[in-house]
Amino acid sequence: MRTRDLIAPVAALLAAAAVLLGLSAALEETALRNEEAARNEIMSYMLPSRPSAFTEEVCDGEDESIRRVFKAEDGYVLEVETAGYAAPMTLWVGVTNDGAVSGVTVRDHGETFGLGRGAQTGASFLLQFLGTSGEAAVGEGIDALTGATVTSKAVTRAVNSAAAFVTGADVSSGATEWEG
Amino acid sequence: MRENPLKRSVLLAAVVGLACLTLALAGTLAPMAILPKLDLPMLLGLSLLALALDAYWGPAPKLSWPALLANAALGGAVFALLPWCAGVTGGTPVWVLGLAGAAVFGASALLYTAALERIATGPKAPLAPAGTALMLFLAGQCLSGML
Repeated sequence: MRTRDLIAPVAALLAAAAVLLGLSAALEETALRNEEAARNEIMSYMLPSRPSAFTEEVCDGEDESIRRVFKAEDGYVLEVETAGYAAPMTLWVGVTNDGAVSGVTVRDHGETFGLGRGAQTGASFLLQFLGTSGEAAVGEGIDALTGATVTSKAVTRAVNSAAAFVTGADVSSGATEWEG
Repeated sequence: MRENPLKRSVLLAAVVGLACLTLALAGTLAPMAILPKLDLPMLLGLSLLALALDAYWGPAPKLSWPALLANAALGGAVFALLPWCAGVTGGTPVWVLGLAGAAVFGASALLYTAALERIATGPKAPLAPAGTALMLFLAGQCLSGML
């Protein structure tokens, strides 16, 4: 191997990096705008009044699993990260001002295909959490996904954390105006 | 004309660059889509795709340790730099991607070259490079699942 053999791969790497850097800078504003629009649309389905506008609040609660808090007139949508079976899972949980869960969606996960992945696509599993207020438990009103008990418990933990955040269990939170 | 032993790193830069471009465009146009992560199977798949393209491109290079180490170092640079430039690291630190990329590309290049030297290739066995890459990918997926 000679030193000049390095010229082609290094040139290819730098050219690809330059193209990607330029593209990423050009798309940044569009990406942020599209992300906000898509996020608001999905979140609007998670609260009963279907709000069109959300305000992001400072997330300064004690519960470290709560990553982001979005407030609307009749409730909150919280981004919660919890440990799944294979990788961290990110969920959005809609909670009304009186502490009832009104929507759950799995936004990111690394669960096993055919087993834990059902947490993302299994409507019947997710529907069980609607109306709960932080007391959901697998085996006590919540049926686990077949072959994915760890994933089911992870989702349950995330939903309960979100409800507790709004109902005031997490008293240091800036989002706990309602202290029911 | 003499074959460049680092040609597979050029192909890796092209493959990873295209993958990052696709992820960046998908992230912009469909921001709520759940996209594949840059995890070990993904790094392995991209590495093996580049190695298979290299095998179809020209004569398979002989196993050479200096070239192997240089390819591994370049692979680490590719996997660290390109996802960072495209903004698709998904929160994984760049140095982790670099180290993992160097290890994965280096190991897969070693195994792929060694396997290909022992498998009949050429016009009579046109599927051998792709088949070898597929077998290594499946084996690597099992291994990463155990890790």
